[in-house]
Amino acid sequence: MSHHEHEHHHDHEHCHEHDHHHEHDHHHEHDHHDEEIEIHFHEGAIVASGGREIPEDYDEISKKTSECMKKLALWVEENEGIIGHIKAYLEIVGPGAMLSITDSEGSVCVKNNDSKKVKLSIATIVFAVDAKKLKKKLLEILDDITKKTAD
Amino acid sequence: MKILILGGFLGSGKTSVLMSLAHYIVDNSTSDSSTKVAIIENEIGETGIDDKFIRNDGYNVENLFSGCACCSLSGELMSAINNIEKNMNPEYLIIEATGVAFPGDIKEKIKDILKKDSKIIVICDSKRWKRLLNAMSNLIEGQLDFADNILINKIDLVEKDVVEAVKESITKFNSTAPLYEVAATNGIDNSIWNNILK
Repeated sequence: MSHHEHEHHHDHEHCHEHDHHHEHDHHHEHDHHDEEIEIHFHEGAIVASGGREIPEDYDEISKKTSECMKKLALWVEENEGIIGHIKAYLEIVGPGAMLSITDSEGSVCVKNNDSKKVKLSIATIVFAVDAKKLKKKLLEILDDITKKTAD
Repeated sequence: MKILILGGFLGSGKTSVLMSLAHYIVDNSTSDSSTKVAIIENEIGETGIDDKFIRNDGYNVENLFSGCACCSLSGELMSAINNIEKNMNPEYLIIEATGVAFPGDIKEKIKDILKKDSKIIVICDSKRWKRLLNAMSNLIEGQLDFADNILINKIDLVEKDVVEAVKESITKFNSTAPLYEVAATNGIDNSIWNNILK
């Protein structure tokens, strides 16, 4: 559905229009991260979802994600919201390799990409919470999870 | 192709129930079909969570994102059902509705448009029941309305008297559907699936 169509359907109003408000930081990094979380509305529910790829240890990210989800749940309740569901999925991305060949006599060229990342996907479905504040909170959560663990 | 619709409020345990049901179907199927079960996952957000988990367990999953199969995505749902029947013809198609969907509306649309019958299984969260009923009574009541079977989930997290209170509350909205007490994360006994799917 296009953004124009959404303007006619209150239930499917996108938060994208808010991205152009001056109150949002114009720092490029924040604009990039702002796109990581999408907001939808449906039957009174506010749905904030998105994710990030994080170059960190899987167990560490799993632990931090659990801690941050608890903090998010507490934040929703402290702001007198109702939690429908807060859920996340973690998967390891990489390592990978690119293989190429251009003729039958040559050998296959192999380029390895040894980097491993954790891909975090998160969805928060809540009621009676300010959507802009929820999006901001979720972006803060992603930043918390991404922060390197102190040595 | 038999169609099952899993409904119930957000976080009630639909995906845990779905995994148990899918395993049961695969283990007990006598069908000649090469695909025993296909799943349609409906998420109201843009990011899929449950579908990744289910697909990673080896199941065929079709996604419907950014909307609800009972209303905004009903057209897409009908297309998905037709495509699955045409391409896979599984013994069972399980539709996991969103937690804010009315499964009765999904069943009605499938009947009206595709002329197919379906069975509704609604999952209720015994731990949050009272709180959710206070806050979302219209939605909860609407979800129970057309349930053919009701699973009272998370019984391992509450006392017996709470489960009894939930049962009494549910029967006020739906007095005909059989009720089953389960703790889906610990597995669901095959006898329950035998009864529901017969």
